[in-house]
Amino acid sequence: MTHVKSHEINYTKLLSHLVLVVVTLMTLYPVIWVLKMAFTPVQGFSTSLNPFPANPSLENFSYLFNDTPFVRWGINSLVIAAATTLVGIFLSCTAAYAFSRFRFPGRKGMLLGFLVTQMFPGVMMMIPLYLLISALGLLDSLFGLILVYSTTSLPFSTWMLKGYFDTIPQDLEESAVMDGATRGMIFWKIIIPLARPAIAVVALFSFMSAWNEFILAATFMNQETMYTLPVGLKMMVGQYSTEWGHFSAASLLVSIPIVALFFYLQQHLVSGLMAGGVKG
Amino acid sequence: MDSQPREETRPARPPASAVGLSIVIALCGGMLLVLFGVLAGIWARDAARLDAMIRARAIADAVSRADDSTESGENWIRDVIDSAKTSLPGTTEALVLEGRTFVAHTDHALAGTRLDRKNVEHKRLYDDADELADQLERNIDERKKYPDLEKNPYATAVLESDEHEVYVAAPIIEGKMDVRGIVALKVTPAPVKGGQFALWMSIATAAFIVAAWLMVRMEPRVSQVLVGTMFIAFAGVLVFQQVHEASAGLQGVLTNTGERSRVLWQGAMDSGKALAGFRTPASTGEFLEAINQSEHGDPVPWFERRGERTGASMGGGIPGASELRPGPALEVDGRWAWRGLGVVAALMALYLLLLVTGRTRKIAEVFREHWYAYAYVAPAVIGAVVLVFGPFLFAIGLAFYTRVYNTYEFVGLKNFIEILSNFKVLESRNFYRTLGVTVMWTVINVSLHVSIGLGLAMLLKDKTLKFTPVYRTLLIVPWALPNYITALIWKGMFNKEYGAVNEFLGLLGIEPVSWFTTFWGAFTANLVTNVWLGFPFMMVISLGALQSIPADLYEAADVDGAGRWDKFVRITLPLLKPALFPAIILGIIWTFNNFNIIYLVSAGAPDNKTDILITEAYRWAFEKYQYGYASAYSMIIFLILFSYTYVTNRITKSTEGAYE
Amino acid sequence: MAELSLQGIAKRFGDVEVVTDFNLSVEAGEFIVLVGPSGCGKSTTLRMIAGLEEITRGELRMGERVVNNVPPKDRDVAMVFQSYALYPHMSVYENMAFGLRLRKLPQDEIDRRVQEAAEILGLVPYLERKPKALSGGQRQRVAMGRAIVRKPRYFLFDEPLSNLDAKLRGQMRTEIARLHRKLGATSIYVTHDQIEAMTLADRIVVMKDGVVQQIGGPIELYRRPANRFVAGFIGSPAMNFLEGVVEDGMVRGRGFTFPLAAIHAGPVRPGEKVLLGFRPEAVRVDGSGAGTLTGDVEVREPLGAEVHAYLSIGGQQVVGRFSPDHELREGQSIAFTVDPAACHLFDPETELAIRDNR
Repeated sequence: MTHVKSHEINYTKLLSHLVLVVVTLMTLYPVIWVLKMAFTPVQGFSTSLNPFPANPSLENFSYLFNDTPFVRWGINSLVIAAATTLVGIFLSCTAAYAFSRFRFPGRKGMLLGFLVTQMFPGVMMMIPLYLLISALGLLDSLFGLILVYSTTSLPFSTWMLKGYFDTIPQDLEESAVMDGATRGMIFWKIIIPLARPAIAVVALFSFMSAWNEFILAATFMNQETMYTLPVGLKMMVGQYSTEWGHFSAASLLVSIPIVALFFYLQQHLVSGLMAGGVKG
Repeated sequence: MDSQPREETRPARPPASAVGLSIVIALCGGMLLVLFGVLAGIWARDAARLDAMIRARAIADAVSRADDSTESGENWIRDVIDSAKTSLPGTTEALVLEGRTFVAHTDHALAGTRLDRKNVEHKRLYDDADELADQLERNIDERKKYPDLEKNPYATAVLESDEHEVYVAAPIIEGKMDVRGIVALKVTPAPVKGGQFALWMSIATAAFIVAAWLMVRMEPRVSQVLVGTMFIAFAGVLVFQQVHEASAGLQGVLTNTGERSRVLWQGAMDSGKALAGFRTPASTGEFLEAINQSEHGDPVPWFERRGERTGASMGGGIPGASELRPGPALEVDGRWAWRGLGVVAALMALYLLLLVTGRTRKIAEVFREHWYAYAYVAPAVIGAVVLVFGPFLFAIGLAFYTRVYNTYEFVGLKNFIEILSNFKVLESRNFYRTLGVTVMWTVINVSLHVSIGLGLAMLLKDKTLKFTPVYRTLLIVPWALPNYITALIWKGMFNKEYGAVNEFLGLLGIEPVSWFTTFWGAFTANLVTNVWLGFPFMMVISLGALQSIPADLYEAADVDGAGRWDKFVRITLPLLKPALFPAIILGIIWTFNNFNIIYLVSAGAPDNKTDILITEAYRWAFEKYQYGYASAYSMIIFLILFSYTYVTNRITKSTEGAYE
Repeated sequence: MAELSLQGIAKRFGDVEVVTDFNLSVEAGEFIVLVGPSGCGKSTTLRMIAGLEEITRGELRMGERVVNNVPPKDRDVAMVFQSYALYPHMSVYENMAFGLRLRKLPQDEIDRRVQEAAEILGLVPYLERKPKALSGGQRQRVAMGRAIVRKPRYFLFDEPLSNLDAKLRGQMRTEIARLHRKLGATSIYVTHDQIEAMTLADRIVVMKDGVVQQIGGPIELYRRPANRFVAGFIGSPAMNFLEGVVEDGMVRGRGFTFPLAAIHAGPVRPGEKVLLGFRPEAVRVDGSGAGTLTGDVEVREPLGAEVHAYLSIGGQQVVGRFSPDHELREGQSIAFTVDPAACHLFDPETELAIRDNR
């Protein structure tokens, strides 16, 4: 009796493993492909199904660093993403705190307004943003992209941080009031340190979206030296010829840090997204 | 309520109205500052561009008269280019490009050389020559489409424009419509007056805040009326005077350039190396008129072209205007002055209305009581207003305009009607067709995401299965990768000749498929890419929800004698709903608006057939430059999404009620 | 001049008045306990004293100064919260030092005070720990320590023991009493637990529905409750009430007749409806005292040192405390006596105590 049962379970498990292995292989195939091409010093798209490079070399990487503005693009992306994160965190923290703690006329309206912005189609915003940014003379400038990125991620960050601030007990603040703290001190010394995990997630989210954003950057940046990584990488994939080796090597370099960060904070991202998304 | 006794206990505090008033004034002042700062920037840049365009047009027109098949013609073109630098102050570089060769260049070393493909600037020049040709063609179409619109276009491309340099290109037109080449100019714009506006405005604002504070002893109403009226009146005068000064300054710059360009053009004609048969324009005004006219794609009227050496002038002769008429940008400037005044007047009316209804006091009270809250939200709200709501409203406004040539014309609901009343659903760019594709795209994607994600989650949920953490980690890799990278990789995988997909099909004995030449092929390519990208999210959500279902529920079901399927339908699915439903709603919005995949993988191929609404809107805006039309398109998308969210919110609310 | 005085204090949230006409004058060093069921306005009153809630009406004085509009930090008060409100990201030391740092005290003074408080509270070994790593009782001590280091003129306690288990609560109660004797600061203590009130207070303020019911020392409240609510709230198990009518110097009700004591005979009128109240501990079975009552034992709860018996007298339930030596069986009918002088009479309409002063 028991013997038969355990046999049955093994059979199901085997099937499960089979399905999972096949799906995982299919999932990873393109990634393996990139790895292979990155280390293959040929610019064509590899046509063999064999996922291992025939004669591996680092030629593609040295080309990227020596013969393209890849480093410059990386610096641009880094500066933009970092500044976006800082500005966005500052703006969303202060606003979220007020929304969470104070009751003032206009609060609901503003919160609702922030929600509605998440439904604006990006393309619709691009036209006026393009005109605005060009009117301000900020095309081809890191500052212009920073401005736009930090405000577009603002509603999401604000909602998410507000949700977190709501869970910090009011008692802590009152206790600080009794200790003689001003509003500013309560904010900086109590709330901000306590909200660190949420701030970290919001920061990661802003950083990732700025690091990965393609279409606004492609529209606002025309000079090759001002490209961000996504725009630069897209340029390598031309209409007729593509430098697949260079592209793959670059993709690898761009992806590794962000994938690492993603896995590091993945669990929080999911819950954060859902929290923001459900409300949004 | 019982505010009376409270008032009595605090007689000494300053009238709240004064504080509130100062804040309101400071805010208004700040907003006006920003507004006119932006406007001044726009005018100055507009003028700089216009200035550069006039030069480029004049030179292009002069050059188009040369017979460049002869050496003397080419030399003559070089003379014209050289003289551009001297007779048009501010011109730093000028060049003539025909085909892929620099016929002339102010940098003599480059004259006669070919475009360098590796050079980004050169590549842009080449692209621009194409774009200019397109634009000319479009202008002619539009003229047929909107015959009642008499606007001067500029078939001139602005390659780059900032406060230090404007880089423009104008087409050299041959015959009726052919673009033989382009003239490109780099111009350093002349400084524009009106820069002290910000200074004056801040002084005024500061003064009035002080005044408001000082007047607290006066009867509040009197002081409010006084301060408010003075401020608004002053702001009005300031706005009007500043705008006028700025526009006069701009007009001066343009007139100057117009005159200098005419002299250059005239000089070129007089040098005698041009073809015979042109008539000299009588004045700068006539010259400008003619330059503008030629932008329509029509030849300059008093000129005979090489192809038509009949001696007869074309296009209905010389236009009647003989005095200098302000160009389009100058007209706009004039209007802005009045609009600025209108804004100020509206502010004043609002202020008086509030005053009369006694609201100022209330507003002031609110500000006094909650100033810290407003201080906290101010940076974010101002940021959102300027960079999110402002542009949003602007886009809504834009939807009621159309761009004809280079100016905007109010057309009411025309854009919407045009989009929605076209029922030729078989044509590739038809709205309803695109909507259908979008809905199909969304539905198929999300169902695949959910079913694959849920299926994998069901497998991974089994705690007795080995290696599940490994599978789980590997399976969410697609989510972690930047999606533009995956999109581009998949584009390569679907390539007909060297793509891995065809390679794989080859192993199965299937002929290579040309994925991007048929609708279904391209759609499949997009779909596969996005399914690959999207299932991990649903998998993670489902897995989390599955693991939170208490095991004793299944045990209870076992006791009750439920089979696998029963358990799935009656326990798993209902309990997944609270987590899965919001995720699906979110997934639908994401997929509906998934720009990157469509744009990067199929790029709409073939023939825009696989475009979804959002990429279609993008094409109208940034490939066809129909900002108004594209805005109307986006508005429709927004309304669809908005009503969708509204409906689903109602549904979630009602179901939430049922489950709690 | 009173150390702290509340005159006609009221608090309104929207249309609801949660505290009405609160009058109290506190002497220096006094320990005042505000007690009452939840939602009675005791915490709101405390928060008004702290400055965390605005005072809708009335006047709050600290010494001679009216402090209605003085922010908390300038009131020289320290408060212990029900949740302790320890800053989770700071060590015990930092938690205690936070208020002192904000007041810009020199570092050595801060060290000295924190050390002193830690010694008093037995927290010295835990100074570097985060609150997370402390037990409930230790956290509670830190919360107190944070108040002590400030050396405030007034201590405020908002149900500081309600998050502790019963045993620990008893321990901390005596600790608070000890601390108060040592520090001698004026204290206002909010609780819903009458035992805490009785054991700690110099004076107790009993509140219900935002209205002060009675103010007085613990014994006074126990012996002379002003109304039925106070009588029922103070003492455990609660006072028994029997409905009856006054006739011929007796209270008659369903299933009992009970003689009136001399102190009650004066104020009551014959034929008047009254509530006869007596405490479970006033019940005697040795036949002493004049009033005899008979009831059926419904439930008996042996507690070791004593037995609580729930008796039914003509359908009305009363509790009596009996010696465990006394044999009681459920269903048994027993007779017991109560000294009429230890009884209380209440007007069933107004619920006020009926005394000579009527």
